[in-house]
Amino acid sequence: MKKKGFIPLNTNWFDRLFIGVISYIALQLFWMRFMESFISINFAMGIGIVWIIYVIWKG
Amino acid sequence: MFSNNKKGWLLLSPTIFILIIVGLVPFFYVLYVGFFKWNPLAVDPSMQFEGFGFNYRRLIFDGVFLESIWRSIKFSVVTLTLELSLGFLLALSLLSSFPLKKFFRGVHTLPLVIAPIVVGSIFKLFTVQGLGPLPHLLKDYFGYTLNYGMNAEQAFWMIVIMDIWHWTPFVTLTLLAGLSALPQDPYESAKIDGANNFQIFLYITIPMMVPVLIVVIFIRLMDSLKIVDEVWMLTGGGPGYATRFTGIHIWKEVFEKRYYGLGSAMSILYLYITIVICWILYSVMVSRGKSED
Repeated sequence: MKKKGFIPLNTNWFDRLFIGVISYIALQLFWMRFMESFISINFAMGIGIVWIIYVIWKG
Repeated sequence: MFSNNKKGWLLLSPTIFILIIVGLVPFFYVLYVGFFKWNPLAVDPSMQFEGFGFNYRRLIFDGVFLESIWRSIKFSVVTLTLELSLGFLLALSLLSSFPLKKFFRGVHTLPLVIAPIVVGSIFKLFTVQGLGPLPHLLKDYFGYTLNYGMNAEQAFWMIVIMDIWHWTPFVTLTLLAGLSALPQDPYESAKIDGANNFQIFLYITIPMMVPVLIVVIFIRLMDSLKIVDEVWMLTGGGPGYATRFTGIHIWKEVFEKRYYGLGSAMSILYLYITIVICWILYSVMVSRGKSED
């Protein structure tokens, strides 16, 4: 069933999983490029997983 | 679900099996290899695991790779814009009748049936300095020196011209099919209301053509992002890095240097970028189409 959350599109759970995974990868790459010398990549992984769950739940 | 549709699943099973073998298995293998440092010609030819991010970390700091992605995107945007404009114009002209229309349509479609590698060699024979007729003609009649083996800008634009020559007929044919299938009632109503040709084109033809345009844009975008063989034949990625699009760059890393792990990671990263671009474009176009409805 499609619903509208904070993502400005009508999405089903698979769409939101897809958006979550795509943004998770983007976050990992961004972190590796700009942040990893200051903060470990493990933080990005943690944030990313929480983000995916949040997108599926509220997106 | 399975027990209710046994016959359906049975009929689908060969397709599913082939899709798994030719689609999913190679994809997951490339994904797997992308996590390893692997060069079979190195001192240690085995696959060495050095963390999930090893190759990807190298890539996001690799200027040549990042530049090749930017070059590919620039190429895709330029060719897509020009092919769509030219294709739309030709499709609209082919709707009206003129002498030798069928002949023109046939000749116009010919480049479509030529293999990309042959298109590359045709252009090379036609345009290469010292052999092809085009540099001689340009020099003799216009005083213009065409030498894309030395000039980076010329090399890039020669690839653009080659791609336009090759793929505009596809755009034309698809748009022509779409235009021919449009209902005539909105046009008649618009004419009665006093709309001019430009207004009819802008407010009736374009909105009704959006589904066809989406299909054409996606097919051409994905095709142009993965261009390899024509470029390989015409310039080989040169001069310097001028036409080293991502496909060519991956080819060179994998088959010339034998960096299998790094090449796999490049492929996956490029696939990711292609998916993101297509998804953003699709979302924007679909949401805009819905808001216009």
